[in-house]
Amino acid sequence: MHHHAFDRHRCPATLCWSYAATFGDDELLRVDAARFTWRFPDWGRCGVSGYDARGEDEVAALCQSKLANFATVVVFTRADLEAGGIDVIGTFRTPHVTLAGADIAALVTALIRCPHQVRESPYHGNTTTQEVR
Amino acid sequence: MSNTEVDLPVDLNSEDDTGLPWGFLDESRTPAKITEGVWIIVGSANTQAVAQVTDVSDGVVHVRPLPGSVASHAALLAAMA
Repeated sequence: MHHHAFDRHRCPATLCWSYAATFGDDELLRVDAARFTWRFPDWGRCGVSGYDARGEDEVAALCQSKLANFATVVVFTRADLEAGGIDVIGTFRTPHVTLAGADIAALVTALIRCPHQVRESPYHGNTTTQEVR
Repeated sequence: MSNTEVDLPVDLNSEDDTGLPWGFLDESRTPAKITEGVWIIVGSANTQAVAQVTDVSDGVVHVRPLPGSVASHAALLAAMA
């Protein structure tokens, strides 16, 4: 798995991650983490996708672009994730990150327990002819 | 939560080195339908989107989702029927 070096100077104050209306749906988290693990078996860890945001303006920008299909987004701080044992690793193209753990069960439990905000996306449902990505 | 069935389970939050979300062809309920260029419904039980299949390679399908509801893109899906 290709991933970018972690550069703490570029660390955002907040991290935006989305999981539809039911963040408490740990089965969905488990399925997504399992799919990640099957796709990248050589990495030796499991993870789920997220996106860095360096502030509220970037959270809004993500809601209009990468996360446009989600009715709600979940916002964590990097400090809370790391305190909960979740590694935040820049992977693929900025601002994509992988929230990584040693195994699926531990990762899902840590994510559910991590302090977070669930926010309604004001941009959800907007239909344009523009592609999201 | 929507009851719309997806053609391909995809974590719409995901991406890889292509910058696009992806899924596994063998998770599709209609794998024969998943070919480059077609418009399909992707996502999960909680979140769906209409997306165009950009490529299928080694069992991995990349898609380019559109913003908006599935219903708002019904014409694209109908053209695939």
